[in-house]
Amino acid sequence: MEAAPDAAAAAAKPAKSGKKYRMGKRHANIYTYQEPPHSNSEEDISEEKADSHDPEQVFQNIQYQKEVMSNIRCRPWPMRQKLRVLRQAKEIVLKYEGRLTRTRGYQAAGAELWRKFLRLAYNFVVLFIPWEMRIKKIESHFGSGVASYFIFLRWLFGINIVLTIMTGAFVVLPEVRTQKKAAPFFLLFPATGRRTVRQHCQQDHSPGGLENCTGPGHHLVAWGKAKTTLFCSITTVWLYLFITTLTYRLWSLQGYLQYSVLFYGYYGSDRKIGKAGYRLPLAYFLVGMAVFAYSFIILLKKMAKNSRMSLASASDENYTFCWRLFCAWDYLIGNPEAAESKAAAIVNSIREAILEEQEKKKSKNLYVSVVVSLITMIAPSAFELVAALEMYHPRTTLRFQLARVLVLYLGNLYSLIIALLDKVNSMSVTGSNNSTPSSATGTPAKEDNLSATISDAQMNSNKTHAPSLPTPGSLLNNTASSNSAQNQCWETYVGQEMLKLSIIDMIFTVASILLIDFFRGLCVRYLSDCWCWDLESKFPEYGEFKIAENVLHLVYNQGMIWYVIRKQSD
Amino acid sequence: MGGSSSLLPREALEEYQELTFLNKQEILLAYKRFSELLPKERRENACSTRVPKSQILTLPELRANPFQHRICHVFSTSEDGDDSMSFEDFLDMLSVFSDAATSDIKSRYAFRIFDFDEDGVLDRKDLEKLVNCLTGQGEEARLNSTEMEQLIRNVLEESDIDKDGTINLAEFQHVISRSPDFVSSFKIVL
Repeated sequence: MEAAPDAAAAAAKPAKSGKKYRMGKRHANIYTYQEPPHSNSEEDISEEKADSHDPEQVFQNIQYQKEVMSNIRCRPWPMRQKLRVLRQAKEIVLKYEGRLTRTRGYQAAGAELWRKFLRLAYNFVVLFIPWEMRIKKIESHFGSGVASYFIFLRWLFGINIVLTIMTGAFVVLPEVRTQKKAAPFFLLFPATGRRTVRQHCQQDHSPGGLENCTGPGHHLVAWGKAKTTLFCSITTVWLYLFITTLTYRLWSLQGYLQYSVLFYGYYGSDRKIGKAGYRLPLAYFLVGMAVFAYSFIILLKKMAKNSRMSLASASDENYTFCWRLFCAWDYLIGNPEAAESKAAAIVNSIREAILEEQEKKKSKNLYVSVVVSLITMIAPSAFELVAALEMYHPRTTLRFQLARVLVLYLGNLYSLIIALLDKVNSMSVTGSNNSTPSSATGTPAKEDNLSATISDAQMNSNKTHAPSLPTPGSLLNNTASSNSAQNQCWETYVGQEMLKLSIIDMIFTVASILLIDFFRGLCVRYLSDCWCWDLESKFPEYGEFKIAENVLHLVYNQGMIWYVIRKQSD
Repeated sequence: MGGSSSLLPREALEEYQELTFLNKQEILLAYKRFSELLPKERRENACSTRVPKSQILTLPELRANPFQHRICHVFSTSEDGDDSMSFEDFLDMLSVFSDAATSDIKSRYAFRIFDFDEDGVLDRKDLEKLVNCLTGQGEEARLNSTEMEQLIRNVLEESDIDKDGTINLAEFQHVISRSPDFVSSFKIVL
């Protein structure tokens, strides 16, 4: 066909006839002559069958052409070639379809319409995925690893929205509608309608009976005090007091929040409420079951899908080096800085892999490794020192770090569960007995556990909150003793504790993000000009987005939410 | 979007939808970005104009890519060999790098991109050039010759089934299809 350089031409097949290979002089390489599998045979077939009027064969031919048309995007051909093949196939279909019987034609036309509809639907649906553009921007800026964290977050958010809607529609809305007063922010204000405080504690396991429940006067007096304080101070004092009052309210949850419709167990002993006779306790039970079942099913589906995708490609074969060379680059990166750090990461991973292979050939003392592993898991602060001394591989370092974080989170959850169970048991045991000694022993244990939980959570974010710890502790003391003195129902207690934990967690997360990452970033960026050393490459640097740790945090939070839901169904 | 969609004929739009893995919005966005690369007076018939390589490489999606030159070369159908791209070449490229593209076509094109000397196989020289592209320009980032030797030896050991010292397309696809990250990282989205 055309003059091609020696070796390539000699190795290449001779050019086929036909318009398909007229590529011009540009790419005289092996790829120009790669023959698409069906193209020639398609021509032959169409020429042969031109004379046959056998409807079946004609139909087969047309189906074949349609298959070619549907697979055309999977061919590695340039656009011109694909266009040619497509137009040719369409011509053939048009020419011969007229000869078909009606039913076959309709069948094929139906399939074609369906495909068009699917394409339209896909175009339409893509517009509705929330935050799609933002995540794509993040993906193009920072790579697909970071974006996967946000995709996971979006999925969790979707689940939680569905859970909220289920709970809200079947439990909260009926309660709200049957109240006499509809105030703004009704979810937070006390429901002073048909539900009185007495009925709130009407459960079997409050053997003390109705008289021992919280009286209505208690929170009104406290609320009055806060109001007078607010109105009688100058601006700075007012601000200070306002903040502390708010914290007290939220913390102790002894105030109006206790009676909001969002709290579990907010129903009396009536089987039906409202004019229509809505069975509220049944609704609670069913919604609990439904929420549980929904979460379970959706989690299983996602796991199955992921394992299917990974099973398709995973096997016992381990192509570490090949993967790190061929699959390592993230083509979504558009930012030169991110590209540099990605290149450095790839080089490091290649070096690591080479190192690891050399190590495999040496023998290691396993006993020492086991002991050291145990120590590093128990003492986080000594961890980095030990790792440096042992000169561990970076990947084992990361593994230990993640294991430590996981163990810490599991420990938190475990200690919280144990503490809550203890407290619940102690409360139902002491019952109407207002003995402070037993409840006092109960409370310090819980308080310690709660503060231990807090301190663990803080250590994860590497901050010191020593000054703020004593105040929550003392507050807990006051409120907890008044709790047990009045023999509160355990559901309220569990709800309060969970709410406190969620709020603390949220506050600390926001604070840690602000202080550790945001302000640090601001300082490094704007102060590095007027500082002794280059802040961007030495000490403070920019906070790094640790994907694994953040994902673990998300899983921990979601696990806590599901734990609460699970507890409700008991 | 109003102006650009009127310049791209509807029939062509339908055909491009059938021939690529892109949907309508993506094709129109590609058309808009492509015509922005052209000087104002040539934007009218962007469909049939060729954009020189230097302009293509100013796109932020390609700017930071170590394989930018190879990508332009592979997808360009220019007869002069100057790697300029027409709108159809551009669509081809976006289609292969899109989310919906199959793993098969991605691995075929990845093979072509990595085949620096275009002899149909990946031999040592190709692999060396590949590594140097990835590691970048900095002196300390580059692998020294021992490391390079070891890396190439390990790669060939893992993937070269017929032991001829080179990796052909089938061996390459065999390795790549088993990687969980390849499809998600071999993506370019406008």
